[in-house]
Amino acid sequence: MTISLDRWSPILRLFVWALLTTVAYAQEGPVPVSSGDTVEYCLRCHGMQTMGQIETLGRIRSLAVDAEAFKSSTHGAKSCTFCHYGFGEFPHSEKVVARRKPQCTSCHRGERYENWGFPAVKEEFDASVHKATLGDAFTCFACHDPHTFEPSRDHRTIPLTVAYSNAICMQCHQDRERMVTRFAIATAPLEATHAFLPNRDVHWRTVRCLDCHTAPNERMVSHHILPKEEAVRNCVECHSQESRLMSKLYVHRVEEERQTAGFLNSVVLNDAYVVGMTRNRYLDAVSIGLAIITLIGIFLHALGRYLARRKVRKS
Amino acid sequence: MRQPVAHYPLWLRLWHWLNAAFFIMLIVSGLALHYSTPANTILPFQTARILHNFTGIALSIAYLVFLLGNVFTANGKHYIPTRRELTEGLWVQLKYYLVGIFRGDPHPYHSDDHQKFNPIQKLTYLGIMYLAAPVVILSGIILLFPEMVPRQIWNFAGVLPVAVLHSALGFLLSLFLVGHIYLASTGETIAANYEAMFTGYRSVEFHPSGTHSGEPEQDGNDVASSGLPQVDAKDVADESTKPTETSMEPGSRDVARSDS
Repeated sequence: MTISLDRWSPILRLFVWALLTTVAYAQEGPVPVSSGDTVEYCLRCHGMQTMGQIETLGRIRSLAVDAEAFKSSTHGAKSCTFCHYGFGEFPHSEKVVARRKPQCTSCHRGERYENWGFPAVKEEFDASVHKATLGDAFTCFACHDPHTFEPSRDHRTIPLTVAYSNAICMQCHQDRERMVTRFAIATAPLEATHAFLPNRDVHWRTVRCLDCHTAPNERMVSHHILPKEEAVRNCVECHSQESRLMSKLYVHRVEEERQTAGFLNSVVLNDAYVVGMTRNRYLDAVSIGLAIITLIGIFLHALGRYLARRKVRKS
Repeated sequence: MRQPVAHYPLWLRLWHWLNAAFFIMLIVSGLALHYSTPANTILPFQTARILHNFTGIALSIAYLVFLLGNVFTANGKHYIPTRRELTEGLWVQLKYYLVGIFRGDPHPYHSDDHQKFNPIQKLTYLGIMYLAAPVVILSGIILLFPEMVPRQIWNFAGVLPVAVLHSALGFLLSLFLVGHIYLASTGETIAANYEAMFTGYRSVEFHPSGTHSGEPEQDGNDVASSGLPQVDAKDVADESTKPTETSMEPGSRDVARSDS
């Protein structure tokens, strides 16, 4: 009989971890029993879904990292210790654990702050409803998990971008209980507040919350989340040639298509159909041409009939 | 003197004008949706959307009435062209519209109870009512429920081909409407066809003396009426109260030609 090691390995690892920790602490504080600085080394424990820490009674803080999501994230090429320095030794020393958690600005400072758009992000965020309601308690991490963060432009399709972006908002805004327990904010169900939207579910899966709930700006993402009263309600803001989607959700797609298909074809025809926005300029030109030809034809025909009739009258 | 010829039954006229009203509202709201602007040039987007959806459903129901009417009454037969009409008739009628009408030639095909439509009308109505209309209605119904459409078909948004088909056909139907309204003026008199669609009766004008009023030698006032059906005045007088069958066979040419 063979025992599948894979199946037992998380339990075995936990067992070994517990054993080693006990042994280590028995020797007056933790003494490293192993060390490494590769992602794989850390994922031996943190790759386990159940990896967590009891913070207070009944509340578990997850310490697990989704290996796949991390590797495809924008930080996926970095090692864990690049941000979590000092954690390359196991067991982690208390001194390291007690250190302040890394912030975005721990790395993104100086040039990496200036050149990566952070000043604009800060400016927008400071004006946002998030900042106004929750102040400094609302950090970047409230929305962005650096272990899974992907810039929107990296997504292959618009639907993926929409799903990824909206999932971030939904972490809190769909969970009305959490909104109350964590932020003491009572909210109405999203289904009710969005009932005015025709084909609500289609809107939800084809555009981002951000597209209506942020102030217009030049970049795809604005961190200036508006109070709900100021969100877009006027259909033509999106459903028109001057659609705000062109400078938001579709901005990268427009640039891409301009490069591949030329300026004239950059109409975002493939990924979406938005009434009033998606107009094929060739079809429009043909239809207007046909209409003009028809009207001129009718005019000339009627004129011919009139002249012929007048001729008959005279004779 | 006018001789009425029963032409359009009440249900057909009711359908026709309801259909016309719905269709015009659909065109206006459809244009407002397609060419929507923040300035709401034609109609506000929300209004246009509601109007388009409701009149679209109303027109679909009216279309069912039209279909049933054509199945259960004799009206359906008028849309079926004969082989001869398709080969020769189309050309004859086209020649009339392009040349004959200016010379005051008689209509090559006369409208009567046996044959209301000329070959071009038959083929156009057949294409519009049995091909374009069902496709526009079906695609419209699909667009009413976009959540049922696959999000992506290959690399295209699922609703994209449906929407393009719907708007392109809707546009062609609008052009048809323009042509239809104009060509209705080419009846025996300019107003005859419009009147007939209201009253159900087509008035056939003839001279009390028995000669046809349309002949320019006698009455040069109306070239359009020169192509009157060859109604024999005595026949008409005999059955003056009931709808007449005109004596002229469709397509027959024994009509007095205008020399002008």
